[in-house]
Amino acid sequence: MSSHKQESESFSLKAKKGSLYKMEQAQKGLFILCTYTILLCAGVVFGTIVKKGAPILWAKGWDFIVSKPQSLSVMEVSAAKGLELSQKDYDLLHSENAHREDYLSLPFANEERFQKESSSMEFELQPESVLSEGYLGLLEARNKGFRPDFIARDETALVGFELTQDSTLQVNTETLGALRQSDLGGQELDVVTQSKEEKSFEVVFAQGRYSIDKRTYTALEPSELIFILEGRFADDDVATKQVECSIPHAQTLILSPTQVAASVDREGGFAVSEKKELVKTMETQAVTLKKGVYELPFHTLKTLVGANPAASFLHQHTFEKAPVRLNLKQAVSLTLSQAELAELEQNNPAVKIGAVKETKSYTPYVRFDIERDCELLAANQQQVALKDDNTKNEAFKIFSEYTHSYSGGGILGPIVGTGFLVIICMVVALSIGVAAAVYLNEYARKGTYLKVVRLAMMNLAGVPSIVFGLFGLGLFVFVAPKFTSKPSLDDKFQIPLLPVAGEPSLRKQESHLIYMVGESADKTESLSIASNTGFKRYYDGWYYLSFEGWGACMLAGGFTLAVMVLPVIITSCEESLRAVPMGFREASLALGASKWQSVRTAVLPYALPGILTASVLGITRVAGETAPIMFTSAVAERSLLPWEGLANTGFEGFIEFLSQSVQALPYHIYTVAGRIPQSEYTQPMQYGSVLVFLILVLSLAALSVYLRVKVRSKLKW
Amino acid sequence: MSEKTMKENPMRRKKSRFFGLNKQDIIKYYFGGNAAAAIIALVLICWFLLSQAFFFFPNYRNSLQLYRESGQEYVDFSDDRLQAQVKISSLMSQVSGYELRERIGVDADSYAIYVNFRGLLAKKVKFELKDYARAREKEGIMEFLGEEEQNQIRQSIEAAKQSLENAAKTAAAAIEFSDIEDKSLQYAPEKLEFFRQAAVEGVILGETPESVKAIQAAVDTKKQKLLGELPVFVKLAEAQDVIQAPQAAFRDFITQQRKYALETKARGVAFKSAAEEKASLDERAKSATSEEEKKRLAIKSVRYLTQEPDYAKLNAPLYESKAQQAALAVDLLVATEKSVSMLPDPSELTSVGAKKRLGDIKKGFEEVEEIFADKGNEASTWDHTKHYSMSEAVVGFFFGTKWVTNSSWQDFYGVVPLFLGSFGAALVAVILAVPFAVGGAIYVNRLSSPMEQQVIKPVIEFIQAIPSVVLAFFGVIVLGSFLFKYGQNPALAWIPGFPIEGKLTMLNAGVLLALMAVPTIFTLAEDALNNVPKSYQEASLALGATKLQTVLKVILPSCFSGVIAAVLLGFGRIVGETMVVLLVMGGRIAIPTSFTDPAHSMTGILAQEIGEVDKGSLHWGALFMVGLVLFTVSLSLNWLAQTILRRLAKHK
Repeated sequence: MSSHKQESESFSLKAKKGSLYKMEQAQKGLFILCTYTILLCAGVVFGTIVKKGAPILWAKGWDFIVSKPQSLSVMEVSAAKGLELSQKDYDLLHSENAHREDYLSLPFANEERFQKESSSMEFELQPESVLSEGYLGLLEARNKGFRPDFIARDETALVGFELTQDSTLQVNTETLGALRQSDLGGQELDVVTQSKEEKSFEVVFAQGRYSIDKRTYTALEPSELIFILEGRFADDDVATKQVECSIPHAQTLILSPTQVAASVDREGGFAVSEKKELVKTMETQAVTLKKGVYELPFHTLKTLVGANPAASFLHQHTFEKAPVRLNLKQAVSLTLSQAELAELEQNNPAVKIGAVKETKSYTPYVRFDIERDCELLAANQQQVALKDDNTKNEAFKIFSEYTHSYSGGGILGPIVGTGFLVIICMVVALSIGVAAAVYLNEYARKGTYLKVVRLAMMNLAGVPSIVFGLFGLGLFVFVAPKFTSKPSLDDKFQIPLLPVAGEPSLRKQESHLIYMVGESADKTESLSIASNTGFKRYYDGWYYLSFEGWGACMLAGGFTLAVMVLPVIITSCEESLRAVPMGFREASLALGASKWQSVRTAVLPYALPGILTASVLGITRVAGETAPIMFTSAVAERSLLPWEGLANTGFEGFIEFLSQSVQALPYHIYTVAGRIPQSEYTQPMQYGSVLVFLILVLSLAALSVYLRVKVRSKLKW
Repeated sequence: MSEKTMKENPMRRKKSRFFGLNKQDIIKYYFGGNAAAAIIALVLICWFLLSQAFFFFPNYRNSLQLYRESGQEYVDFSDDRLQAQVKISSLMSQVSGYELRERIGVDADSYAIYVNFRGLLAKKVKFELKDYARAREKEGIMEFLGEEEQNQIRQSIEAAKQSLENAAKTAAAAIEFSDIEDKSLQYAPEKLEFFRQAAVEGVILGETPESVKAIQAAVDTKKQKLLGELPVFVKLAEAQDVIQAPQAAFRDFITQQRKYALETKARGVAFKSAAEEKASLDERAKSATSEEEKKRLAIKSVRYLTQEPDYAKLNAPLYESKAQQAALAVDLLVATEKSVSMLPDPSELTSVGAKKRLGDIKKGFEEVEEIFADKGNEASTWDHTKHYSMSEAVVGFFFGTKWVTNSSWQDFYGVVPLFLGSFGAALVAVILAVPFAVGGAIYVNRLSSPMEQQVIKPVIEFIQAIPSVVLAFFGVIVLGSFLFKYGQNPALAWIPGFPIEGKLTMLNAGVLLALMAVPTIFTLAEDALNNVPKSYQEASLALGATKLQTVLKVILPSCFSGVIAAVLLGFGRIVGETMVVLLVMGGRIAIPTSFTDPAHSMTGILAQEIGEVDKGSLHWGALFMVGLVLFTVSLSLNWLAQTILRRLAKHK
């Protein structure tokens, strides 16, 4: 009835043509409004980012893309004349400030370009050299790429040191002996002996229950007394807090007077049955050395420095690790500054150096004035350079400086990282996805298997990206199998595969905390000992498939992304296969080709453009994702690009390259937009990286649209 | 040559077999195996989520059992009551504060506005200020100098001051009220010049100028007078005194009880790990390199207490305090009731905010009474030996309202606030997105010209391609401030949740999520519209209906379930969205009361916390459990939508 009524109503409306027309127009207007509001919103988002980001990108130019992210220093500097800075740093300093409104009024003046001369010593380091750890570090810092292996560490190697003034040093007998043996430049050793009385107590603790306070506990904790505390003392407890404790059996101990005073015969201490005083005489010896250069065995110097922390030794040795005997096949050519080389030779008597020659190099520099006090922005590197190059300029002062993390420099690291993640992801996803699509479209027949595959794909497409992140964390980071000769000690499950040719070098053993399993030792027991003594991995001459996970790295991130994008890739590849007409296959089969031959020659080549479109679509998807890579591969800070600073070469180097964590552009944006304090100084980095990212992703999207249109119009059967 | 032809002759080819399969079969199974990747991935995802979350409930039960055994539960019964009561008393001081501000009028915020203006100005004339300060540094040494030098210094100071003044005046002229961050301050437009002038003076003097001090003093006098004389404020002050009087005693009581409970808990925790730690010490002692180390570790191991703590004895002080606790609680409740009855009538108040909060007090008091009855009952019957059942732990997770981690007291993992946050934002998004997306789909599919179609469709695809972190950034930097600014507008005050109280809210996230949901809903809805048979339209048009009537009354109803499926899929997509809710929603873990509150979400908590927890810990398990909930929810949404779509396809 009602519908009839409505219809009659609409007919009656039709009579009043004008009003119906108006209503139609109004309704249509509403729909138009809906549609264009969506476009407007997108326009506003894009417009805002372009409006704020484009001037920044324009001002910073190419430098923003090709430099690495650093922290940003905001400095207030004084007016000064004759400042020096290398050309490169000077240009980067300019580009760091270029987006600012007051940039044009930056008071730089009297720019003058010149070539700055710097001299350095080039020398050859001979095989069999022995170097102390500190000086090896110096050599490696000055010579990029120099990272020698070493044969052994030598505690007894002679090392040199300088005493800057006459000093009296406490020595023990052993040190004294070593000093007597060494060359002291004709000095007579003047040994002074001092004797000291040391008191201690012999105390008998009876079995029983006591109530002790915190002071007692702290005093006796390091002693050998066995007592069982029936409670606990926290750091913030007051000293008078009491806890019950019991002594399981009577014990006799020797304690120092301070320990006795703190813990025995007082309120909150132990009541003891016997206490006896003991007195012992101790002797110490001291020698006086004139200022000058001396040589001592490494371990003796270590004890000497340990016993005399206040004496004025001058050296760069580090005492945690002994000097190393380098494993060099032939002489290596290295450079150091003149002073550094002299010190190296003086303090490392066993180093073998030949063919020293001085070389001069010229770097383009700029000399400039700052005319008045001003505020300068500089990335960390430029700030350090500005300070280092102008230490002698007394007029130049920095009044204040603030650091904003991740806000300086450019975004090279994140772009490169995202690139690699995408490449790994697409290699994995395409190799699985295309094969799966071929199966689904060419081989599969209706049945349970096909149904299950379709169902799984459909559901996989609906899984939230953060769940893929969890999955990647669980599988790739913690469990995935790894082909290695140095499996982790924590890992319980591993399959031995092949014997290994050469064992890891000493240097690698140290840096990776590798435990070398001896041939005769019982393996299980020695491994449990190793894991208790701080080793992380072990080596026993076999390659293993070890289920220890890949750690947070590029490979884990790429695989996680690949799993995520798989449904998209499979579906769109399938579509492009389906678009190849049936006749192609039939013709091929009729000519006597096998199924695979016809797929390979008559189907895949024609589906290739479609697959290309699919992969671009996939790239668009994965490049923008943050959640799956957050805990599988991305890091906020990393000073090296992925291919820099690799310790290995060849296949091992490739594996190492893949098992690094990387910076990624979306994660970088997350960091600068959400995890650091916001200020006007962090905004350029935010807008700049967001705009670059948006342009990258949208141009990929545009490419995929363009390709699709092109493929459709070109390939018509 | 002949060999080659022979080889390629299909008739002569001998099929080589491998495990009974020929080459073609192997290729086929290889491809089939790859197709299984999707199944394997899905199974692995399920397996990892389940395996990591599997031990969560037993562990959580153990943790809660210890919470009960250590007496912390008992202390929390008291603490909950105190918190509920303190809420009422803080509402009272808010009533007083709002009312006072209303009565004082525009001048109330003068000082705050002045401070804001001065801050803005000081930023603009930073360098001139520094110059001036540096010039004045020499003032101190002036007395040791000659006449001429003194004059010189005076001149330089004067010059610096002059340049500062000039710069400040120019800069001040550009400052507007709208530059102030805190939008809740009220101001009189005609006083703009006054504040600019005051800011200039303040910057130069380095202290508050007299004019502002005078206003401040006037405000203070007025305040004192109002507080002392007006009956409303007298009543409010008395009520506050009454309600706050018994709080201190109860608080002290709780603090004392807390100490006992923490002590017991520490011993319980130590006991749980004692046997294991002792074994590990023994192991380490065995493998120690030096004799000294070996001895030290052995002594440490012998000292370990492996006996279970005597909870009954440790909890004795709590049991003894039950009567005192009940008495204190009664005091508290009686004082609250008395205080509430002493409050002024709403008609005596002038401020809207104060009236609203007065209403809240009345409502809140009923809740307080309920809480006191419940918790008092639970406290009096509390028994540390009572078994904490597994079902309680499960309920505690799925219906718990507290998500507290890394606490020195007790961790709670209740998913409700996160769940509500996720769903709240998604709901806001869907409500905003559906009209636009469906309307847009109808327009593009049925009403627009082909040219428009060719433009609009790719653009919407572009929207889909905008990375979520970019949208999140937009929300943090731009949209948040925009919504906050216009959300203060009194014209919007009738909407619940307005005026907006912060920049990062569920509304902000909802708007962005709506933009993300639009492409999904639009595309699928358009597909659904496309699938309606052409005959429907033709029949309708033939009956004389207009184009719009056809669309709205014939086509839309016939593909309605398709549109519903589109909306469900869109909903599923934004429930699982991470970056926007992580950055834009404010990260407050509490049950949101309106859609303009800040909140936290399931996806957000995963992203935020999973990088920082130990693998295998209780917290880790809880997060994987959240992941499992998320996974289940999105799979069921997906499944529901797909079922609807499949039905539709079959129906046709």
